[in-house]
Amino acid sequence: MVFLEYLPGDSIFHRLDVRSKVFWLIAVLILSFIFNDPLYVLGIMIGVLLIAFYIGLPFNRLRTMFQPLIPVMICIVLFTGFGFQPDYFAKDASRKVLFDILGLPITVGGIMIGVTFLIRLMIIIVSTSIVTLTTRFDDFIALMRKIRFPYALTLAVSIAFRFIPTLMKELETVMDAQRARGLDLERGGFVQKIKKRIPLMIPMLVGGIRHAENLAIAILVRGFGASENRTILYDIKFSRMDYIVCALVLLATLIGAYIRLIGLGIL
Amino acid sequence: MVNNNIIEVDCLRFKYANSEKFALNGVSFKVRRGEFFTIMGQNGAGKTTLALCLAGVIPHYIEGEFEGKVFVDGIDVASHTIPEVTTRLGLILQDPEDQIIGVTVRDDVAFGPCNLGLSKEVVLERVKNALKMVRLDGYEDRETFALSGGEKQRLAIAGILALGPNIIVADEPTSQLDPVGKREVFETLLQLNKEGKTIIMITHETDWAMKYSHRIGILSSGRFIAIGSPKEILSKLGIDGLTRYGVRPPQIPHLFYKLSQKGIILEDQNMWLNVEEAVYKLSKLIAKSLPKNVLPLNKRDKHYEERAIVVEDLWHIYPNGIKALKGVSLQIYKGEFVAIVGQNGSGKTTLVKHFNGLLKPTNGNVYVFGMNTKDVTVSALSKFVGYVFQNPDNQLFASSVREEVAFGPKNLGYSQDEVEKMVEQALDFVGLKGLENEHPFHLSKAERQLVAFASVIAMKPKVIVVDEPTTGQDWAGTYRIMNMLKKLNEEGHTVIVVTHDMNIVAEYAERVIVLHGGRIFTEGETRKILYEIESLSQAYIEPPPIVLLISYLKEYGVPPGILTVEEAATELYKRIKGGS
Repeated sequence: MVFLEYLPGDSIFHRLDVRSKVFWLIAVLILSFIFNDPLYVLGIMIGVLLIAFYIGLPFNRLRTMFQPLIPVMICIVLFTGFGFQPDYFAKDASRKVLFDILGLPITVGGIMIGVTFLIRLMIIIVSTSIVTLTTRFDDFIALMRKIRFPYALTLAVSIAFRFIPTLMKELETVMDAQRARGLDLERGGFVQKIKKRIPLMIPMLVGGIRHAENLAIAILVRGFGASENRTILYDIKFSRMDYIVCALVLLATLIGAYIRLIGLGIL
Repeated sequence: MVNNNIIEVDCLRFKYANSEKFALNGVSFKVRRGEFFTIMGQNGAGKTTLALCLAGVIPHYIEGEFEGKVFVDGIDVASHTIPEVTTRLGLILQDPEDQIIGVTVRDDVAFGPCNLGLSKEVVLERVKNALKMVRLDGYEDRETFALSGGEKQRLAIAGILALGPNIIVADEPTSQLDPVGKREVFETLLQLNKEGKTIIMITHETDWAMKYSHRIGILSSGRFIAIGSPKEILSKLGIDGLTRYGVRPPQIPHLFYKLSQKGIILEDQNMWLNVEEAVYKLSKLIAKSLPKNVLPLNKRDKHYEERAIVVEDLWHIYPNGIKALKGVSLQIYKGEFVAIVGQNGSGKTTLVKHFNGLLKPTNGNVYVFGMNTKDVTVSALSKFVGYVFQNPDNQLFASSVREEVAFGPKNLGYSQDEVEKMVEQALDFVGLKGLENEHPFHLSKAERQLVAFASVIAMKPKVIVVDEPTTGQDWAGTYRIMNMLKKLNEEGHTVIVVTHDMNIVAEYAERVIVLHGGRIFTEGETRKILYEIESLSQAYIEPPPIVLLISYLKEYGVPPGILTVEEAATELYKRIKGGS
């Protein structure tokens, strides 16, 4: 999955402190939400894509993620087309009605907002991928420590992350075992399909409890809680580059906000 | 006074809070510094409970009634915290998955020392040394989920070593591993023992235990029945005693025991021999007057005609690009008992998952009773091919045994009356009659295994596939299932067993298919294939000791083809008596 993997590399983005990256991510998201003119949002998208190219983001894997979403995307554009009445828009060009369906007008502005939504969705996916792909898991853990997240919870998150592949494999085995006993997951109506998940859910739940019991013992015998001051193996530090990047991001956000306040970038 | 005992346990009794029976009922024993001490005994004997007591998990974390004294490296476990115990005695659990906490190897090994609050430099130094001791140096940045089973278990050992204990307690550390992984872990433990660590190992692997332990303790119903060197244990309990306490008897002593019952008694009365010693002793006894290379033992006596499963040039490539099968062709006849063997990654599970359509061929065809699996659903095939998975807990979900066993027949669309009859017959067959209304999770592991088994045979499949019947089972459990399969086979079912256990193969399978690297390495009658010792070693398969013994005796005229202790005893008796 694109979201969770780490992409080894030595770009500036890789070397940035995780806090700078999160700050950048928040700024990108704020900027893409304050404008609803697709041209402006597209500008942000291009910026994000340039960074994606720079860090070597695996686009083919992104595509496989996007592909199943295409019908949903088309629906979004169509529905937003209906969703906004002409008087919602500030500009005359946007108020123009293209055609009516059953008395509901489809406006130019509506379609354009739909396009904006789409671009925003892509910005969200690509920019979060950029952050997760360039940040080691340890850095996220260090971030949690910095914001004074309790260690026990941090450990729980860390173990949950580590257990994803194990549980995926286990689910596959459970599914195989039940299918081998004639469970047909594809057939049946909606209610039946949900009922058919029970033979999958219960063994997974029981397995989860068993793992948890054993893990608790494994953690205890490895000295969990032995010392108040746990050794910090990885620390995160702000470098000069981080200050520069954060300043630039802040500047860009302020400029964006100013542009929006003087009334540009909306429909 | 210098105390040479690193562990002293005195009159230890423990009862779990939710149980009525004492899991440990008066355990007393001592372990010397630097000793390799093995604990054996059947499931439910209290082995794991004892390990948890040694590590302080009992009584500090798991509650119950605790009596007696446990001293570990000079401290009383009950009055010290778990971290204080764990820097002296480290505990390795059965399932490597449950002990890996870190995303990368370095993180995982560092978890323990970081908990101790050591300086960063010391932690990294300890990580380095621990990984070196289990021969995983250079693995620091690897992701833990991508390691093999043997590597994971060695990583778990490293994680414990990084805490700096003098004692390591390993609770069935190899039960989830394939032969290669088993060897890795056993050799790691042996090496650590040589470097001065005291090792306490719980295992069902008799051959390893007998070969390498300084002493063995046999645990039964919460107390030690016998403690002593392997030879002492063997002479004290005898083969019958070992069997009674759920310990699989080692084959070579078993053979001499059988011979002694027939009146052939060794001069020095020492039955504990390895293969080479046995060859030497027997070569002196065997009469050379008998003709060499008499006919091989009974050839395959049955003839098969109807083909149950036909595989034609089967290729399977997983979505991640791994080519698991590269052109496998084979036939399995109705009524056969076939074993499929091969090391992990050889493609054996991938192959059998094609037999009931769980996997579909990337290329080639699989026919089940003439149906191409590409055209039929898994649930339709489940009527013909039953598949028993290794871990019952991956399938049990219902709130009663009856409901659980009825699940399959119901899915196949049988009527209420028919389902009831099928459930009754299946439970009767596995010997669980009377437990219909029990909740499966209240049963013992062995009983749960039987419920899972019943739930498959209730569907009356003509072909039964069993994946790794030995994993996580004790000796008695394995044989219980194997004997049932034998009975089903005699009733006309086709049985296919996927296993690492060559003793099982030798004792039960008529035909064996050896997979290696996604291809059929060799296949044929078990009596023939298991004697191709040199060629099998290329597929990392070692035949059972009895086969090795008989093959070494070839020059004394003993014909190859013998597979079991029983057969060997009969044949050798004939040859020894024939000369005197």
